[in-house]
Amino acid sequence: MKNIKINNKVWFVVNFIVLLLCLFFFNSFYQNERQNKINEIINHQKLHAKQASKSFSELFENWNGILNYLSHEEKIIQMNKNGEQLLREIRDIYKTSLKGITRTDKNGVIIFTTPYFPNSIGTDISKQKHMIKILTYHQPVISDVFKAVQGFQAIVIHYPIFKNGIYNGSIAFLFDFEKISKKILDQIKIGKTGKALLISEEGVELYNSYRNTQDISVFELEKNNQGRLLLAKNMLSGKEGIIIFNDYHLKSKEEENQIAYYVPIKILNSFWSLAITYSEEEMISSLSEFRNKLIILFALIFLGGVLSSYFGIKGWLVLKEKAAREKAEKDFKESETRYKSLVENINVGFFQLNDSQQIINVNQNCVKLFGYNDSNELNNLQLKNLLINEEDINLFFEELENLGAVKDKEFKFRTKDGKYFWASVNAVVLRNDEGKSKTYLGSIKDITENKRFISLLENSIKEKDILIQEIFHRTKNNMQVIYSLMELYSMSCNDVSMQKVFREMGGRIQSMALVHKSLFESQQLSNVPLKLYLQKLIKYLSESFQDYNCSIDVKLNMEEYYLLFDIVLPCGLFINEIIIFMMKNCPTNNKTNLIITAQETDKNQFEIRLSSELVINNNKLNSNDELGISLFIKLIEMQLRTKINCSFDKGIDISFSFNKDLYFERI
Amino acid sequence: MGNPSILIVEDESITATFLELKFKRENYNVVSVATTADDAIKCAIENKPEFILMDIRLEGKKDGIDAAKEILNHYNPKVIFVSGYEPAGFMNRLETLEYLAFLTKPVEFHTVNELIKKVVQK
Repeated sequence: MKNIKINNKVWFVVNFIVLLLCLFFFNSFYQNERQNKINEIINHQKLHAKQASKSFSELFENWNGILNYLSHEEKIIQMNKNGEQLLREIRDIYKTSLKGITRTDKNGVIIFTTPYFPNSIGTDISKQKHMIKILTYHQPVISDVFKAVQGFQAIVIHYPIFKNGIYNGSIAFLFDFEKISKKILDQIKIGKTGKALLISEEGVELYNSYRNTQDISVFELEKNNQGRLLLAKNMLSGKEGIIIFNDYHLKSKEEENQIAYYVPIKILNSFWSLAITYSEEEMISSLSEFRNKLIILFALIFLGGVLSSYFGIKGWLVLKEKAAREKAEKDFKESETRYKSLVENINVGFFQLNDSQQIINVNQNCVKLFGYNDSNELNNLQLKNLLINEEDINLFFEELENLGAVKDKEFKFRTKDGKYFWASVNAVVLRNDEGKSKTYLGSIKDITENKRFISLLENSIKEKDILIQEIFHRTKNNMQVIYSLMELYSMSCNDVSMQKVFREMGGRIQSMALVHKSLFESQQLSNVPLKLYLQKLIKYLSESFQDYNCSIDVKLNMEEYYLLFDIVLPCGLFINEIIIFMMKNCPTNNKTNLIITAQETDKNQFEIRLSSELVINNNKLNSNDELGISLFIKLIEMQLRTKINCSFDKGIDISFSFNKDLYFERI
Repeated sequence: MGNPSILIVEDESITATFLELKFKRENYNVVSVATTADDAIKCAIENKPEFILMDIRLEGKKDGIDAAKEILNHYNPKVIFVSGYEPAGFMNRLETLEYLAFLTKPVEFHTVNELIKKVVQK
């Protein structure tokens, strides 16, 4: 099998498609894995957040329970010695978390603290933010994180105390928020970058893994960080959610995407929102190993695709070529069968000669033509040996060598049994690379029958020609006999007028004979050239009737028209009659003229007009002398189905028109 | 100059009679009227007429052209061929002969007469 070349363009397109598929699937797998990773992290974040939320909720529920109890305790309402003792005892019990207990009066002035701070008693804290709330709404309040005078991050829960249904101040627990948050939030560690953010309902940052909080609104802290502001807004919606935001680091001046899960924590009448953030970069870096493996995998797949496409295309081409070759072989066999059938069945012999003009191959028809039984009998014979006249072939091969091909050359060949046949030979010369003749291919067709028919046809035409000539000859011979007879009668007649009649009859015979002559000369058996005929007629009349001493200047005003014999003959006789009539009536030694006009006036309509300046005497017109004219007028009118207009008043003016297709060609 | 002598070769009797009478009326010396080529040859050689009015189609194997050819081998008469055939058919054979004219039938006497007169007058 020959080396099949792959079309580079096709291969490039296939590889490009493979590359696109690899990239598509790579991206699909990678994005899927990334999404799984994000989901995993979010689930992790959710778990942490919900645990923290639960811890906060449980913690504050406990303190709420205690505070609720104390706020309804009479000794606390009265804030007497027993009440103070109770508070000190509670403080001692929970001193790890509970850093202090404060009792304020209805105006927000501290009336008791434990541990005891002498300077604090009597201090008005009504202006503090959480105090404003409780003084306004008389509802439990939790403060934002603030820095306590003791120097730690603190948080306060205030509970209102009512005496007889009237607000009578509040009792507040002070907690070390650092400890609480450390206990609950510092445990939240997701990877290296997983951090917690806790903000109050007002947006004050309560806890941030990155920094210490300072009772400042997150909107103030993050005013230059749109991503964090967006996160804060979402957190303050009081709902649970996931957000991916762009975090801007002031120190490093870099941005990175953060994935955050946020969840609200119900605290008393308010809520906090806790967000667990995680760096996308860390997540991506955690995917790097997977990505690298995926790259290697798809690189291998691509390589495999390239190789597969190469061998696939090659295989496809091989199959395609095989199919094409099989089809071509099938077509060739069919063609060969058809050709063979054609060659064997048409009545043409085919031969092949070698460089020495020896027959090396013939078909069955060729064998039949030469009367042999087998092609082997013809092989090795010289083609010229089959010719009747061997020399004929020399010119044939000379022409074949010069032109490369010859067509329709006729030769007389000899058959095996000594008979002959005529054949038409076509041949081409096939040359080798050096241009030397190598072999001759030719066809040979028996044309013996054709030649016989052509010969018969030619003989038949010759016979017809002879017959036509013979008819003309006999017609004119008969005219000669009639003319001679009339002349003989004329000679035996002493009447001069009768002699003239005989002579004029002779003229009419000549007029008719000239039609035959013109017909024969025109090489047409039906149509006579009118102008040529009239020229001959006028010449004859002027030569034959010189003794009338009348010179007629005849002008033929017409083109050459070929009219049927049946039309020209009566026209000729009529014009003959008119001219003789003019000669006889022409003044002695006088001259006159005659204009013969002939033209087609309409489709198929033809007009002949005779006009002369010759004025004829009325007496002569009415005499018997003019019987000829009236006779021929009737002849014309009958023969041409027309009416002749005659006027002799101011010279001669005769005209008649007829349908020139009145008669059909007889031959 | 004496009357011109003429041999009429014509196998059609009416035409031959008419011509003979006409020539005689015009004072020609009609040496004979022959109807075959052989008669014409014999008569011409014997009488040597100045003019021969020779029909081409004649009785027998030889025609008028054959006769003229043979006669012209002996002497040089003025031969006027007359025929119902057109001259084109005989051109090949006539090329080698010297002849005065070829007239197609029907021939009028005055045509022949004028022709001869012109030769005689020269």
